[in-house]
Amino acid sequence: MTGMLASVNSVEEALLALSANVDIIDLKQPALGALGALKTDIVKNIVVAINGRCPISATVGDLPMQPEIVYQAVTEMAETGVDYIKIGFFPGGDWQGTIEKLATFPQTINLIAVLFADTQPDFAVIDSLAAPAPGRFSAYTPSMAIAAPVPDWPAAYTPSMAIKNAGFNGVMLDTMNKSNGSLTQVMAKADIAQFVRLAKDRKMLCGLAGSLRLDDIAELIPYQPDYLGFRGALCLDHNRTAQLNSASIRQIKQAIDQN
Amino acid sequence: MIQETIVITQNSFGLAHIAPMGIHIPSGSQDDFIILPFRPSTTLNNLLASKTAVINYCDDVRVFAGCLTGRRDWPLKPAEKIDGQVLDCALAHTEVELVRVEDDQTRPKLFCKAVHNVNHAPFRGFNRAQYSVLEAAILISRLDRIPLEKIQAEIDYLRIGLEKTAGDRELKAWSWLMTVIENFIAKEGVYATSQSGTGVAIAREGVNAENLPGAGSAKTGISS
Repeated sequence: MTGMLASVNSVEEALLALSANVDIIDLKQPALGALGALKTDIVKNIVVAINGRCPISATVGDLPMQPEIVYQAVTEMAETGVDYIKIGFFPGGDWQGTIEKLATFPQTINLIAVLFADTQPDFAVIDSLAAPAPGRFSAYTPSMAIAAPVPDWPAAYTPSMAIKNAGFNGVMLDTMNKSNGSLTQVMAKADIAQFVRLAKDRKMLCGLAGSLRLDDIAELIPYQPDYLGFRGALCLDHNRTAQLNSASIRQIKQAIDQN
Repeated sequence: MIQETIVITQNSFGLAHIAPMGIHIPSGSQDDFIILPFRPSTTLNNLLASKTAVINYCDDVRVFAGCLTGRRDWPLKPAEKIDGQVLDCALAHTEVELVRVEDDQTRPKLFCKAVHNVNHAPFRGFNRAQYSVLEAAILISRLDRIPLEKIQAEIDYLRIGLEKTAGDRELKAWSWLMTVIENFIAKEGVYATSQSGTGVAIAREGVNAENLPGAGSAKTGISS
């Protein structure tokens, strides 16, 4: 069963997405980049307005992969009370160091790694994300983890996330360059399929996004990702920096549910 | 004249953006540069926000071909006088500051002035294979607008210089570009001969992108 993630940038848009029964409300500021961050006070307001009626994810911005910078941004975003924090794995920087630093995060938080399909990402990083973090669960064994899931996780996803890892519960594919076509145009089908398979093998939540349009839904659903993410297709004139459009959200939601 | 360079800008968090671009240099000028990024583009956003950029002079054509095919992870080092980053393999670089903007709906003109020049390694002369890679990069950025026969004819010509003079870097860059062309031809072929819908998906960066920020700028820059 594939869910729908809708990216929004205000309380009004979040409530619009909620009324359309989307499965994850994703907070980002499209004008500020591929994963432009929304200010944390706005994020807090949205968390209050949604009041647990729908899982919320938020991005921390287009940050360089430097452990301290990303850790600090995650710390600030975690205080807003969102359910998931999305971190873009931009080219360059210290990927492994950043992953290891985030594994030391003191509180339970659901991190989602975002890989960019148009930057030739190395899927081997999924293994690093899924690797058990020493010290995080010192008595870690897969069977124990399954027996005692962390209660804070949204119920719908608890089974798939029972095996804990380096702090990352999920991984998604997106695109960095939003004017270069949708995910299905910038990545071969075999690679998309492999990505989903790798994520699922490691029991990670798996999402696909990147300028997805209505036509992409039927093409991507067969891979059985946990969710498909949308922004541009939900907006007037498919312009990702424009206002959300209620009819477009419902049309996309309906297409996902019917596939 | 127009110089083919690698422009590196960064956002307010220090995330670098690497883009091949043709930089306009007014005649008789040493310190003036005009950068023409497309709107919208990351280079434009970054330059307007930070007011700085690094122009890298680089003979490693893998960087040009790489940025057009999604390979943007090139080693960088900090700039010396501005808050910016320099391509590790650059032969030389110029650190510039934005002094004036001539706005435009599609391609604003960003007038920049050099604040610092650094030489890293000597220029070791022209190489025909590098020329072939740059020209092939232009072709793949226009795959959707130039007849396939013309593209194939031009590639055949460029391949002559490449095969006679290429080193490992040029061969690697060439192979990335040829993969894009081959995938495009495979896809076009499928669409032309059957309705099965099993066209080969390709990495289209620089292929179909009139308004493509990073590579789009590269495209027009390289070709202009």
